[in-house]
Amino acid sequence: MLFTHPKFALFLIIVFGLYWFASKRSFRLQNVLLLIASYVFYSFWDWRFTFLLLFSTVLDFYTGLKIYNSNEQRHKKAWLAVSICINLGVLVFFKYCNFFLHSFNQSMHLLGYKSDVALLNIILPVGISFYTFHGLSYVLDVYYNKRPPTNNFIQYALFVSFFPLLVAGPIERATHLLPQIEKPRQFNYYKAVDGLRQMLWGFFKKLVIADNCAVYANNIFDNSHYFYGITLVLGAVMFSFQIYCDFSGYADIALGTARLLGFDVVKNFSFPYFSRSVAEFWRRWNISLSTWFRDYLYIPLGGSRVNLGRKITNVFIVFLLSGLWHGANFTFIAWGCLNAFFILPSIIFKTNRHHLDTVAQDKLLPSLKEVAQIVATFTLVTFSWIFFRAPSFDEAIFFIQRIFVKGPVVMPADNRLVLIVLLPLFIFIEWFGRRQNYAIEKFGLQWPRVVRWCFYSFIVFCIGMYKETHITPFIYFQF
Amino acid sequence: MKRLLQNILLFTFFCLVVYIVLVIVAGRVLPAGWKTNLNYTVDEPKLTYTRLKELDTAKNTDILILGTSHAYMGYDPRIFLQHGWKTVNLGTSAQSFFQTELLVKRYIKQLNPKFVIFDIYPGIFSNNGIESGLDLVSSAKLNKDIVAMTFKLNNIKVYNTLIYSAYMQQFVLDTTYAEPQANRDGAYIKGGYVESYSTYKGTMPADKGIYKIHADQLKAFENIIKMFNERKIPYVLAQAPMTPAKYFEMTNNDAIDTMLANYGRYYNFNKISNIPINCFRDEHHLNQNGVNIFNDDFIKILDPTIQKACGK
Repeated sequence: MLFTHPKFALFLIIVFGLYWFASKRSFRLQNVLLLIASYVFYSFWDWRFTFLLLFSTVLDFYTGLKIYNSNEQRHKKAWLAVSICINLGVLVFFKYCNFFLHSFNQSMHLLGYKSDVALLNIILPVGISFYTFHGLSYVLDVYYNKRPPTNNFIQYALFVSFFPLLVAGPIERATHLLPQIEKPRQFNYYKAVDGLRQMLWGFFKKLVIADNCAVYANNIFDNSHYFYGITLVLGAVMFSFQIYCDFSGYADIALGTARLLGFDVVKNFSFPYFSRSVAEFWRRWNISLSTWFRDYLYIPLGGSRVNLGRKITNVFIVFLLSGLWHGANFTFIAWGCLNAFFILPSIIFKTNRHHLDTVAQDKLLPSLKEVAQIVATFTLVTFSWIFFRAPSFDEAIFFIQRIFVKGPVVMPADNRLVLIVLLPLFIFIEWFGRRQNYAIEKFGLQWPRVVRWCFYSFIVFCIGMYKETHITPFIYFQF
Repeated sequence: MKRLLQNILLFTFFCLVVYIVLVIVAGRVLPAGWKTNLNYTVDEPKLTYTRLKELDTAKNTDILILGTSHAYMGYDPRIFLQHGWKTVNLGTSAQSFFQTELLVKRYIKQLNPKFVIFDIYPGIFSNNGIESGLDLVSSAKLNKDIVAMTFKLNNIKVYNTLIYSAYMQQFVLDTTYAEPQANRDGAYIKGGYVESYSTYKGTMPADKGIYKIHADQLKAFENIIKMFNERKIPYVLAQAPMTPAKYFEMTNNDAIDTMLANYGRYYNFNKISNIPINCFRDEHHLNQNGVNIFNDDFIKILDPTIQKACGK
């Protein structure tokens, strides 16, 4: 069930009604209801994979308790290893098995041997990377004594499968979400309204900006052999906006839905395209995944307290695995490595902790220097997206080569409105809302209600008038 | 909570009003490419508005012709009139069986046809009905059936077009409005036909495929046949010719022929008429020279049947 499908609206109305009205007397009943709703939500994709979700949940719940109750460190370690191995084993099987088999065949071929290991017919369970990381974070938090395990299976199962976050994050931490599940939630009018507003902005980003940019990006990337120069640059830029609005739009809808149900979920995006360096970009893009890798991989590897050579190696390991997390393809590995290269100078010169504030913090417009920094960062990030979007490494290289070939500029789609009006309008609103949690969080709150409602209605109108008529899945569902 | 629900209801109503106003403003002010999900087709080459407008005064016809653009570009009323048969053509672009059913329900009593030619382009069995839905919502007089069809199609373009069309019918179009009678697709001929002398230039061959049958379209098709049978109106199912290249793009033509033959007398004129390539206006449609050949072939075969039905 996609957030953008009318079925989801119906589903949410039913869940919201039952959650606040039917079960308001007991938060435990609310938890059971949300758990059932989450499994129903997940089963809309493929009910068979609910068993996999349940297995992963039982595994981490059980190992979490075992780790906590073990007296000896080596037993704790062993249970942690069991959890990590099984979790990652399942993930590797479903996500990377064919990638490794294919790579094996190719390597053998390069070495002059004939290898024809058959690929497996495996369906990737939606959201597996997200809920596996949910579970792992819980087990690791218990292991590192960041929190005790919960004895309540329902509460833990809800933490793993909470439907707004289940299929594409943000990746929550047990230390943040579980305490909210463990105590009663109070309905708060302002929080609910804020949730609805954030959902509206998420729908706009996904349905209007992302899906319209996708028309250009798909057309140009799928036919890159016919295009040159500026047209290909346009394709890459359009993909940059597509993936941002697609993924952050999803996150806005997820966060808004969670707020409607009384939960505060971690922010996943913070206006990343206004970053002044690649290091800042990574503090603002897919924050929950970046911090997951930071806390559970980079820091255990030594973080920044090791010598420079080791630090550089750690950065590469993190970005390489982050790339691989996205998908089983060399393009994602290349994308991860490229970002590691881009961030490297800031690690070497120790400037990676610069720009912790918001760009043009107390000003209306950025300085020329800031504009140059933003443009440079956007260019580097967009360059790396080419690898992310291209179907293969060779295609990405070919795409980049063709950028430097002179040729006619072609607009391979009819919906130029998105280029001329909607995208600038979107950037304008994002810029003026960059200090908030999401762009329209406080946009127009000081206006009279009628004017503010006119603004929201205008967003609804833009969705109705400019959304693509077919429903397009969110990009991150494939991960 | 009460306050939230009250405000949601209030905002929904407010938003609906603003939305309707903005759709109308967009329809009136914005150029075509800037109102992506608003496809108001009056004044477009399809000429459906003119065709349906003509029906306001049409009564008791001999032959009713139904179908897609193959129908309104394939059956010349002047040729049928030479044989003494008055025809009304209810064909519209990409008319799916949902829309045919709606049109038959609306006009069958008024037109009281003695015979029906139901032209079937098999691709329609897998059509989603949106294109034709937009055409009807734009051009037909709105009533509860059109609104019901809009909800059935459940597509934002059709909803927006319905809003705009309601406004246009209420405040802009009046009885004196006339759609331009000739355009790039041809000239309108009374009786619902569109005449063209342009010649097909040929295009690149496409991949082979098969016609698919969607259950809901088949159901609508069967409902239409049922209506003819209930009213005891004789009918014939026909397939007007396409270019051979287009026709043979689909590899299950024989299976389609067999299926359609189960629903009544059926003639596939792709197999009957021998029409030169220069008698097509495009790969789907005949030009006037082609229509002359096809209609002659059609009448030769069906003359006794139609004579029997129409009593002429």
